[in-house]
Amino acid sequence: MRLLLFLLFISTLGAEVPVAYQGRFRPLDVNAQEATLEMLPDRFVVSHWHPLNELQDSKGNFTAYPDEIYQRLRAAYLQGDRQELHKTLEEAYASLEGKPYEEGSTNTLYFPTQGQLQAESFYTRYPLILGCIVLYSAALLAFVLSAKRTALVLMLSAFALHTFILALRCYILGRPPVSNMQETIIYVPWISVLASLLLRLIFKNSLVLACACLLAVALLIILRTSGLNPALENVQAVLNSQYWLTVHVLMVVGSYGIFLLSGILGHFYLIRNNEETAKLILQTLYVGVALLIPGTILGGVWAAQSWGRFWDWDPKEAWAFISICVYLIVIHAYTFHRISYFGLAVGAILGFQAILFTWYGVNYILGTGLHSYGFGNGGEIYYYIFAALDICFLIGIWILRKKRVAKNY
Amino acid sequence: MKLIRFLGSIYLAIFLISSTALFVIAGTVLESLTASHRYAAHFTYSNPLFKALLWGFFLNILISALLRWPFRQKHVPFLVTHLGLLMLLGGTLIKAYYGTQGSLLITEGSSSAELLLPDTYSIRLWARDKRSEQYPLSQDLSLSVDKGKLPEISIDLAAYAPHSQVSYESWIKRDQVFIQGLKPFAVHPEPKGPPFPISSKVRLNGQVWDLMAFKTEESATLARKIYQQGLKISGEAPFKIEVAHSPTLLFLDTPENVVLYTFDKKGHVQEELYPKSSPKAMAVYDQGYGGYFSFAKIEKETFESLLQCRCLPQPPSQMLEENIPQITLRLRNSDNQDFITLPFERQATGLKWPVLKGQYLARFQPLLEKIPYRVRLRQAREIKYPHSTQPFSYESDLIFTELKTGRQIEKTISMNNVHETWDGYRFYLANITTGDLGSIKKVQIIVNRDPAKYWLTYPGAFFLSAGIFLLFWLRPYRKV
Repeated sequence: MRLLLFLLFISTLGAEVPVAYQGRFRPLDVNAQEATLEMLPDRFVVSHWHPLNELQDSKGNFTAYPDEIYQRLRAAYLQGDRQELHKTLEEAYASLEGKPYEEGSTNTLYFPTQGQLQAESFYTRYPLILGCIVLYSAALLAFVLSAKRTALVLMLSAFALHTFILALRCYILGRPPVSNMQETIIYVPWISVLASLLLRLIFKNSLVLACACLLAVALLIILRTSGLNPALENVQAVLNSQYWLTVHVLMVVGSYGIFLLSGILGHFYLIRNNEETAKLILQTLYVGVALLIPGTILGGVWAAQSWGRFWDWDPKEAWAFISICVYLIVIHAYTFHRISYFGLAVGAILGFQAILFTWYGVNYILGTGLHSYGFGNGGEIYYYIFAALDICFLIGIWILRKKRVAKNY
Repeated sequence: MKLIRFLGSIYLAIFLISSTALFVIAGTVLESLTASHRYAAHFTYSNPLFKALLWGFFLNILISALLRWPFRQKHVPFLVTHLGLLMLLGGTLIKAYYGTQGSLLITEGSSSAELLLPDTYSIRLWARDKRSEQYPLSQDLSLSVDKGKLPEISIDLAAYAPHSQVSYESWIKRDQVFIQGLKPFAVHPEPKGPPFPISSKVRLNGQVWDLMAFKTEESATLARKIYQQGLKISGEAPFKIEVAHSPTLLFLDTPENVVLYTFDKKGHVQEELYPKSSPKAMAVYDQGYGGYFSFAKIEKETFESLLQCRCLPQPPSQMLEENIPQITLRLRNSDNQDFITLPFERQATGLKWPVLKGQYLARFQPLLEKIPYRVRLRQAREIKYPHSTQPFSYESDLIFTELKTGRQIEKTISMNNVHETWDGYRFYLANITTGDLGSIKKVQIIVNRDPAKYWLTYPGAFFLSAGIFLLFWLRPYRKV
């Protein structure tokens, strides 16, 4: 955040100061907020930054910047030369970027590059998520209106922007963007959309695209309206492993995206009874399970690395297991002819609920266990209403089906 | 054959998967309601029925695979997946029976070579001649008294309570004040007002001191009243104040503390607090065999009182992790018999209590298991993100000494960065706390050894994952 302020200040100094004002700048005239901006890293504790107004004291170079740059900075500050100050600050920061400022035995924190700072400034300045919502919504509308080509173009645009957001976060944070609830709400619909595009390529069925758009719009609206902290946060110490964060979390959270998509498809199947939709459901269940089971096992291996045990029925582990059980029952029952497409769709919806609880419920409703870095609160009532409505939907469909079967007899 | 077919059937598989899932759901709900993982585990994951379900899984998978004999190419995905599952389950069982799992608690500068085994109980005895023995106490409260290194002792479990309130008593025990070398004197109930009764008197450095003791809720208020009673105020402003009372030692018994006030002849007041929750200002005699005493220095004289631990049985809490079990033991040797009540010392670092006339020390603690390494903690640190309270890394600098060879290795371990020895012991940093000694840190290091991990559990996980891919996509849409 401090570095972001630094960048913003540099850009303020450079571009937005009226020309007439330049040349009349004096240190004491500068507005108090600017003079107190901490832009001078301490010489010995570089994580500690001093405000600009400390340049007034002639105590020698107390900054981590080279002496020559410090002298120029001080001269520019004392003379009130904002252009020179701006230029020298940029030069000064360039001498630091990419250098370590906090070192642990295995992990090191580096000063971000100017490119990262600019990316962060760009990310926070523009409503990128809102852009995604608009594009996905437009694509969804086009699907509803059967303008499939337009819908596809809009969806691909939305997906490109969505990918750009994730790539930007990766670039800024230097890690996969899946370390808290807010980040996973961006990542999960991206996976759903990616999976839907791949399934569309294989099965030539556009329904899956519409379902993915619906899911993306819903989740991104929740992200915008839920009050989740939008900041680019530091990763928790326990998650501070690029390797496992990439392997375990991307797989498991990725499976959520696939399962949520299968859940939406399940709802559509129960309404429209389309065999092609059922085939899509089966494929999404296969992909989801193929991600969830190995991902969960790899999580066990990570837990063995980090906490010293492979499996201990921590609530997050337990609910991953429960979700796996739900899908295994459905897949076994379908494979061995105990249920039909109808059962498959119902199973996809039940699994959808189990996944929602694993993702949201464990962190926000149960709130116990070792995965405490994801805990939060709020939204329980909406979750309960949604779960209740979904169960009512299933009961309603079941009653209708019973009636239809009775009528046919 | 019918039974065999049933044991390998899809119906049993679905029943087992559903039942296990229901058990686990119940476990997570219980854990959330009670905030106790152990409570939930007691009714679910550690329940024999749950274990039976897991064994049922094992059988179901095995038999369903064997029923496909003679195996053909089309069975490969099924067999690979289920072999993976069997290997995973087998690995977990082998770890449970033959593996090691425990924790080391080490303070900066100190070392340990003994693991605390979780969820275990034992009585540990130390003899004056440095022999020691631990007696395991099983979950069903049967005490295994193998004669071991202390054959002259017999131990019986006389009483047990699953939870107790532990307090440390020194100066005041029940309704009397005990000071070494003096006759016990009475503790009076909270007085309504002056005159305040004197319980006893003692001569100190040529002066006679009044000894007073009261029960009270508000020690400071009562002490002020007693002190003011002995002041004589005369004249007009500025008043003349004279100390008219004899020097007094005042013991006040509050629910949380014993507070000792001294009012000397010159009017000086001294206050000393002795919390009941933990021993304070303690003198140890003969390394504990001679007992522990609270002490106070008054007029260059040292007063002492024997420290005792008092365990009051309480209704157990649902949060099992917070319960402090207590046991009462009867110990006998050829000369003496002794009864002692001990509270459970979860970290095995509390006081060892003298028994059998100070010939032995005893402590109720988790079972300890020796490992072939001594681990010394040089330094532990928590590194925070700059300008933030959020930790960036937890680290500990350790020295591992192999006990057999004396070979030493220095290593820094941190979260996600473990140390594994050549013989399979793995050391994980679990926790860093600031201990009782100011800024000196104490770390919890989890140690485990899983003999089946590399050749059963992890390969099993790989087979399972590979099998899933083969099963789903080698023959898509073909039902068995």
